[in-house]
Amino acid sequence: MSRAVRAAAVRGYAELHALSNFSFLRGASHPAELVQQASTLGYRALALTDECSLAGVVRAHEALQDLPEAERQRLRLIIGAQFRTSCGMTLVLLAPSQRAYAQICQLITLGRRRSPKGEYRLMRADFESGLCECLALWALPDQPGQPGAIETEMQQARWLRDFFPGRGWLAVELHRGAHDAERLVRAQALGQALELPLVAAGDVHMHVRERRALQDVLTAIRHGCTIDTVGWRLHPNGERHLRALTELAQLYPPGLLSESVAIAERCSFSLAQLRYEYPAELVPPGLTASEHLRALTETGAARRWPGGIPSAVRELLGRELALIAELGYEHFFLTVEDVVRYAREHRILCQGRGSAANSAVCFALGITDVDPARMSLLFERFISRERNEPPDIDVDFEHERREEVMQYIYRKYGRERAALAATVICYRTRSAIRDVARALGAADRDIQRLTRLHMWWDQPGEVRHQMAARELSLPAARVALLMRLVRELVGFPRHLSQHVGGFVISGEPLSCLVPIENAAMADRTVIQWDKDDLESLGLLKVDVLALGMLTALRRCFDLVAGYSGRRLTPASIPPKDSATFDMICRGETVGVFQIESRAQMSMLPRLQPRSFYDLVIEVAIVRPGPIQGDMVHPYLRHRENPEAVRYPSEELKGVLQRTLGVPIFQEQVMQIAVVAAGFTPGEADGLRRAMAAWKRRGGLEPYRERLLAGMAAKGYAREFAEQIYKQILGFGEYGFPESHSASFALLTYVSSWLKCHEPAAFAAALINSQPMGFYAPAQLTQDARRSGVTVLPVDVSVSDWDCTLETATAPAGSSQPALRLGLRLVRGLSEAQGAQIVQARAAQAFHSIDDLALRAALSQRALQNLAAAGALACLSSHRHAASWRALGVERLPGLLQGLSAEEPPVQLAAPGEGEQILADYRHLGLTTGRHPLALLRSRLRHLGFSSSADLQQLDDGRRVRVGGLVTHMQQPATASGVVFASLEDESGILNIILWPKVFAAQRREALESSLLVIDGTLQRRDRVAHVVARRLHNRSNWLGSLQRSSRDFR
Amino acid sequence: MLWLCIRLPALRHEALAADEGEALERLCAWAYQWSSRVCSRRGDEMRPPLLWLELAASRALFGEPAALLARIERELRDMGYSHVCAIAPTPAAAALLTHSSARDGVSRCLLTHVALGEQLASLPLRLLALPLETRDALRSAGLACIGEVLAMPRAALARRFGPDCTHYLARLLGEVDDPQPSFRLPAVYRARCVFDYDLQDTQGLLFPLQRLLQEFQGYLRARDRAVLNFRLELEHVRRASGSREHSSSTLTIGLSTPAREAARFLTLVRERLQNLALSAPVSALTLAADAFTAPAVVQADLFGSETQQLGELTHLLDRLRARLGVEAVQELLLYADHRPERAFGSSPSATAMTRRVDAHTGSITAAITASPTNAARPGALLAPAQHIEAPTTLLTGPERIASGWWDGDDVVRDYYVARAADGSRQWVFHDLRENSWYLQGLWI
Repeated sequence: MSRAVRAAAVRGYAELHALSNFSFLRGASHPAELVQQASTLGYRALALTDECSLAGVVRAHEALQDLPEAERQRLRLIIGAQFRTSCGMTLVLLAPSQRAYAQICQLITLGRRRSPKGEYRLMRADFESGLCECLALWALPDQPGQPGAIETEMQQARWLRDFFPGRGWLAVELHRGAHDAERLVRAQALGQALELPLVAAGDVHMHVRERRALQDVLTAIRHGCTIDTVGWRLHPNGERHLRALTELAQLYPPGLLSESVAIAERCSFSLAQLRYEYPAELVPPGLTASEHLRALTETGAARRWPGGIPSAVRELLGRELALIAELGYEHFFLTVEDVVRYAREHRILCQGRGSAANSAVCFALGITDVDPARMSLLFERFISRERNEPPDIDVDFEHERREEVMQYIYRKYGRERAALAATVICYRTRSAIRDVARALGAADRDIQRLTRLHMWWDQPGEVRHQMAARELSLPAARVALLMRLVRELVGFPRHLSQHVGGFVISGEPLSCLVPIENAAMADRTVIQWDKDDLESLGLLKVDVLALGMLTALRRCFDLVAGYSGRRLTPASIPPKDSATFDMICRGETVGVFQIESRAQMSMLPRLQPRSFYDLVIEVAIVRPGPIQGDMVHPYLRHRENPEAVRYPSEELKGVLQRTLGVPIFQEQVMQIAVVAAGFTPGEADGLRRAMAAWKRRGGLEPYRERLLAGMAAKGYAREFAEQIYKQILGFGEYGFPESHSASFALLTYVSSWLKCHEPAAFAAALINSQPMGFYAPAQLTQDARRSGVTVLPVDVSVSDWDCTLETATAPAGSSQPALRLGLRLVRGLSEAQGAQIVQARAAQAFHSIDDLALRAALSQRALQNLAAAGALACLSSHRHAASWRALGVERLPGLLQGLSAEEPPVQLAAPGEGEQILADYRHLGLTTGRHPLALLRSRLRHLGFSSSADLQQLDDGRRVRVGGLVTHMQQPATASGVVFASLEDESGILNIILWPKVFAAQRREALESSLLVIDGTLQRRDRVAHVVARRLHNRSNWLGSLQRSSRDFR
Repeated sequence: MLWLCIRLPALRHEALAADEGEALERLCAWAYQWSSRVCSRRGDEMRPPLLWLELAASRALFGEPAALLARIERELRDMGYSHVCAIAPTPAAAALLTHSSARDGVSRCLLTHVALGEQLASLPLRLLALPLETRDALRSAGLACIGEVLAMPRAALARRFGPDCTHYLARLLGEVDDPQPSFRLPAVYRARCVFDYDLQDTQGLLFPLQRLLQEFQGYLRARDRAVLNFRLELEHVRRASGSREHSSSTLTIGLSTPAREAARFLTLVRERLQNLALSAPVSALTLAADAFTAPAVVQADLFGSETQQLGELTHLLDRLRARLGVEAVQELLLYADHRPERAFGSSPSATAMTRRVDAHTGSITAAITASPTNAARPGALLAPAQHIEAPTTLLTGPERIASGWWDGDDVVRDYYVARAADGSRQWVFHDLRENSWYLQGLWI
């Protein structure tokens, strides 16, 4: 080792110019990889300087925290950014202090806010003020190039010296290029002439040189060309990586290396210093936040418990308030309370969920309607003193009115202080295949094939190569490269998008905290961090989410109030209603929140939920997580025989007793890690985050070791530990927290109660809130009719735009009003046209189709649609006559208006029943007449068909033939290729199971039939009947025959 | 009048044409041999293309319509076109009846005008060539067959669906004239076939040629002309690293006497193709003829016209390649590549992304300093680089080049300028993979 090399190793090096993959399509390494590699190489510091972005800094910060203590002490992470000015200078700004950090944030915000999404624009003048604490490095260009460039260079260097006095450097970046020597000489000359210091830097694009191929591919993708044509735009070699100190010592004079360390030592700022300032305006003057929250809580509690607050609740409130005060979370609760109060005042239904939401305080404040007395959920279970994480409350609002709430937040805090969190959109397998394949020169047709068939991506290497080579016109060597590069690229960030509703609200302008940029949507801005980043830095965010069911519930409450005068709220729905639970146990849950899917419906009769907490479990258990973790069957078994449940230990019994020994919720997995494996709460939280991300990023391995070792130390059997780990894997990103499940279960219960006791209002509200949920209006009305609701057809003389309830036309003796279908169901009719009809009708009833056309100013097409849908029945003898009349309406100008020529009458045959039903389906999507299958039934009986009602009487294992309209066809990811179909006939829903072989053999029949006939075997378990299909027949033409059977022609 | 309508459900595909207009044009020219009134309508997503021939005027020449129909259908079959035919007194009715013919493959013939409406009455109304919305609207009023539509007062129909609707019904029934723009034979013949797959050998060309020649024969009969020569233009495609290079070549087929029989043409073409090695797969084929002669006139000098075309560069290149072999004719090209030996190259034919240079000197080739780095590059490169002992005197360097992983020739090299024993400057590199030295360039 030469003297110079040894000296450099002693003095060390700080890399001050490094791009991560958050410089999209430029950097070829994750921030964490850069941090780890810098540490491995013994660097003194690493500056993450992505191009006009701080989107990756939190991840780098986390990676630093994850390093072993000794390494963490040695390596310093510097926050900075690289910019290319409009005059072509490449500047790197570094933040030595928090003020400098804020200045960089503001500069990035400036450059980004004035440009379209993903771009930025900064002039040199933008750097001339407002950056008084920042350090600046000017990366000298590779070669002067143009004549006269020397003068320009001199002038630029002078600019740097003048505007960054004592804070500006010439960065010399040597990559073993052709001009390295000249470059160094040039820099030295410039530096001497202007007394600017020189520093070594690396313009790093990757953490190791092995990423060269990926970096080249990114360059090709960025330029939209292939690797064969990208040419000179590639870097000539792979030297832009983090290089070993010995290598650097060979390239740079020692002074330049030691200068990098000197600069790094000036940078003491760390993201850990960021302090979040709460918005102050929520606390009235003269009060502390704590006092104000207590006052609001007491007012709210008095409202919730008008008869006096029970002492247990009073005690609970006191404990919770004390904990909130201790952790300093008052402002967070006040912020959420403010948003919720706005919604309540504007009659927007909302419901909080999340760890902090299930508290007596939140119930008192109206943030949730889950009465803590209803379930023994302990607030402390969700918020712990030790776990250094901010409380989590997501608030769901009616989906059609969430925008009002968001606008309120923007109004109240201003766009400087409120912004949406970002979502980092990353390369997934499909998008990575597409981009890499294109860069490697695959034809568009091949790329389509590849992405469509990306299922084989999970095959073992060799098979994969063969399959890909067969599919593609690429040479085999390219295919191997493609595979490798795709694997590297998956998980790379691609761009920033807006989070669905995560707001960050701050007391200070946000741009001092984090840069803000434009989102794709007009008038939307996002910060450069996503929700994990925020969580990691302990910044609070409020999730303002949209939920269709809340819209439907509010409408349902309004409809009930409208016809009966009874004002219901989620809190006033009677709890523990046995009729409601009976209905749920029968699996009659079409339209009910969360438990309406086919899988949920068939689980209900087996699970027999009889209490609110059973619903909490039901909501969480029929999800990919528990299914993949194989928790459903053990739970069902234990439920049938609770005495047989054995717990591995007393401490685990405490964790698992409420779910009969089977971990179902995310919280339980974390608790197991704590009590059984000795995790600290902080580690458990890390496990939770790793669980959410492992499918995308991996990273669970260290936790596995830790878990198995910890459980072994506490004397648990190896198999049990492995089983727990397997369950954690199964949970993956789908693991559902109990705190969310509880809030959802309340909506499940409320919607079930409404379906049970107010089926007409419930069906009407769901139809009026479409599109939402699992079922279309056809299934919702069929279901309502099965529960005895009279459904009346659309009629221009009475229908509103929305579905309405009619007490007058309800059959005598029925407690339920009739459901009048709204004009909204008429296909091709706009809401404006619907409003015109209702308005014109209010003035005077229509006396003819011409009158309707004239006064409601309807277009020809609108009239035809109404006629075809049967909505003009009141104005003509039958549908055919109405259509003919509607077609003949003339719109005459001025004086001639209403003087349309009389026509000789024509004879038109009335439509038959089948024809009417088909027209209903075609123009309304549903019928108020008989079910089409009812018309076919006598024919079907001859052919040996069973109806869904018949199946209830038949024995398990019998061969059956059934048929119905296809309503759903699903292939859940968890069911290993099994397809579940739902068919509807006149007496109910038929559950069909298609094994993969059957489905593959009769794919066309399965996917193209509207009337599907199944030959199969009846399978009956716990009151749920399934038909396992053997053969499928497409009999859609039988529906067409309904049309013909009424009228005979060739 | 009596109209034969031919529906061609798979025309574009079967005619191997770039577009449907081209395909119809070819068939019209062929059909002209039987009727001087030929017209056509292009298809769209819903309806296939149609071709009409007026037959009444051809009775004298070709006999009864049924006999002529049989003959036409046979030729269509021979050429391999799927088709459905029908004959009716109006073009619209003939077109409508093709739908009925399609059901069982029996061509419908309605030869008299009497009670045309009644004959059509029982057919479903969807066969009417009315806009889809009109048909839907009629159905929504409960109408189902053509008779029910014809029974409606025309005024009521016009009020609802506009005059186009009633005018169509009148044309259908022959109540008004149905003028169709007639096809005119082109003065020069040009028919092009585009293949779905690139044809690799000359055998594969024979099938489409058979049809092209048959159509050509139809054209010549229709014009009552013959030819002494015609051209076959082959369009080639060559795939090179993801891109497609196009080229073409022309064969001129000469005859000793004027002719118009497809069979004779085919024999000549077959012989010619047997001796031809395709330079690249063929993606399309054009048959063209510009000069015609009366069927009887005899012309000498078979190859006179051929020599005139030699002036064209592509033709010259083709002939040179044919004589000297494809590899013998090279063009020099520049590439954007960091690897010096890949920064230029030669190729049998030019590609769009490069420009030509005009130097070519054996194994030592004039190198080009086109790298954007403006790095010093020697005036001459050795291809391939020569393995050498490690040089003793390195003047400048290293310049590291690491590039090319994507084409299986990934290099990692440090380049230096070295001084040779004779004092000359050499461009050498140290291959970091093999740890060996090479001489790649010289400053002369």
